[in-house]
Amino acid sequence: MTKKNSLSFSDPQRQSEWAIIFIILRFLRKFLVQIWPILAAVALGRSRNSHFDTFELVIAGLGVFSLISSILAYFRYYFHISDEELVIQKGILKKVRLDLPFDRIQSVNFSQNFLHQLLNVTAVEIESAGSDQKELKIDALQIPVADKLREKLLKKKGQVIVNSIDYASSDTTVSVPRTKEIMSLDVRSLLKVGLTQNHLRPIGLVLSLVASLWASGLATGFNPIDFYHYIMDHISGISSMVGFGVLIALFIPVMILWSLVTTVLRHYNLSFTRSGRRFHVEQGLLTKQQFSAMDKKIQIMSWGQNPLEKILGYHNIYFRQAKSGEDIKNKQRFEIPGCTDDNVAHVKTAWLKKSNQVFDSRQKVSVHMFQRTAKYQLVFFTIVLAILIYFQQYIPLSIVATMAAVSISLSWKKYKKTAYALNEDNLFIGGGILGFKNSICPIYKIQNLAIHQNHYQQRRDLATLRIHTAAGAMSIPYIAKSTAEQLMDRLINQVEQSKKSWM
Amino acid sequence: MIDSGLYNEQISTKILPSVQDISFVPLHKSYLKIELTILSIIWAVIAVGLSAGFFFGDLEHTWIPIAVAGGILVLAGISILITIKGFKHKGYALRNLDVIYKEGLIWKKQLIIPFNRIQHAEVNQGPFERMCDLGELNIYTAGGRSSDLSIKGISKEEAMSIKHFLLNKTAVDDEEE
Repeated sequence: MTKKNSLSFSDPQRQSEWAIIFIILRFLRKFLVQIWPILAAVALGRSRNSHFDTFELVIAGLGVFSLISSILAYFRYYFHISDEELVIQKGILKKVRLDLPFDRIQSVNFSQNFLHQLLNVTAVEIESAGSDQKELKIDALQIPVADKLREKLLKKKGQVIVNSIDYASSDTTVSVPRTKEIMSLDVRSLLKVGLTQNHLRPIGLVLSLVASLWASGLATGFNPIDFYHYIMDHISGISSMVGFGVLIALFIPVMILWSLVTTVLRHYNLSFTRSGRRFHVEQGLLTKQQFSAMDKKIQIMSWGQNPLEKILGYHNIYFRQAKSGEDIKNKQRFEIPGCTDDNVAHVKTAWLKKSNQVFDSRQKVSVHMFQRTAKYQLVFFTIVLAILIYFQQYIPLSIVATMAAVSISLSWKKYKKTAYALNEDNLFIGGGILGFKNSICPIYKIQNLAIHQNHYQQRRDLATLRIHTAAGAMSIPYIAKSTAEQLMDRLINQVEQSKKSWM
Repeated sequence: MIDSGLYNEQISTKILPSVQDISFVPLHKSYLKIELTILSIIWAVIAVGLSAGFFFGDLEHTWIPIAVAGGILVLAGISILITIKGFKHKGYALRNLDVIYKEGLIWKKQLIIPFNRIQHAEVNQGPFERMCDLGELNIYTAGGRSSDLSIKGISKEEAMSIKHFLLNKTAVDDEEE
């Protein structure tokens, strides 16, 4: 039962011993998250009344209990492979056995936080698809063991593993199929990628930071409004509007720095490779991430660029894999920044193979898509502008008027970018506002289709076609109802005739 | 099969079966009664709650309860009207290879699920439905919760037989693969 790390995985085996640390840390974190209010209350109460009370003893007892249960959890956790299934047995009091058939496995991802890297182990996350959501996590495995496990789990049904050499004598990078690099980011291009990120993204973060500073300032008796006036008074001779502009200008470098830092942390040393029928991404500075996605599990591929990336010719590639349950986080959707035109073309060909053919001409959607949103915006902005005129607030008036113009022209841009096209096997949907984002979905991967019509569309005989895949939905908005029905007929027919398995 | 010329042969869209020609089966009439009963219960609860509030709360103006009562009557009337009108727009259809469901008055929706993408189907019965011997047929695909199909208000027998039909269809598909 306790045979250690046999690389055939035929006998139940434990994780690396280091896993105990990670289990303890996880327990501790959960424990602290649950009891921190109590702890805080006790800590505050301590100053008044500084002897041990039963309360603290109970908490200490619970701590010891969770420590022991973490250690037990480690010793009761076994995994092995039997009959094309990954079997995990765990549980301290109640025994749990999880069986996961290989063909249900979505992807096997490695993730290493700082501690993992120090100990030279990796966490393994195994994602599965289907309505009953399962995600298995092994806290720590030695890297060669993890590699071998992944290889076994992702091997195609019935395919014999070629590789049964003695592991101790071999290199850590054993991979049966040849690995070809698609692209990688060196430090210079990484910085460029960082500079071309959407810098407005952290605006919400900045706002919440300001709000929390404000709140904590109020708590300590410091009045941020006074501080603001103090600053404003000392920026002599300029109106508060300009002062506000100065504040915003100060935020811009902060936001750029923020995207630089997050980009470096996330995408450091990015390498995007292909081996066999699988894409593979490795990246990360403090936390190393490895993702791999098999061709057949990818449901939608998207690529796009924002206006900044356009200047440098960078594209992002996104793969969307079948999600399990409702949980669609970054894990199922992986993103590779800094790709060239050639990279995109190469990935498309590799993924779609023979079906990667020229699309028929792009079809535009009805201009009502723009008109409807523009109408709403006009009504909204007219009301706001009327109020401002009534109160003779001319500076805000000019700002709101600019906002109205920008917002309506963005809707126009969005309408102009929205298009769809078909070829024999695939559906193409284009979108975007200032940049673009295009997606391709092989038709046989469609799960179901829906035609939606709101009241506005009903009156104009328009409709929106929604295409649901296992990795989320895409829409073709505002097309003639008859076109939507024809598209539905054509797509559904192709799905029904197809014998290919969608994953 | 996959790469044979036959599979890739171009099909003229004119000869494809079209969703335009489908005649939908309406839902069972007693389901409308259930919907209206549930709706009246909801409005009754709201009305009772509010009148209790007015009764125990001291009010300076007597027009407020009257206005609220009027508002509730109007809203209840509209919701009942929408339910009755919307009921006529609900319906389902089974074809050789797929199941289709439509609903909606203000937001119309027509959903189509091919048999070879069905993951799972089940029949549920709520307390009201049990009284009228109706059932609710739910059909799931991997396309996410928002795209799952739920046909409420068909006879239980019908729901069960459709479910068996669907599950047989999907089982046959699996064997063929």
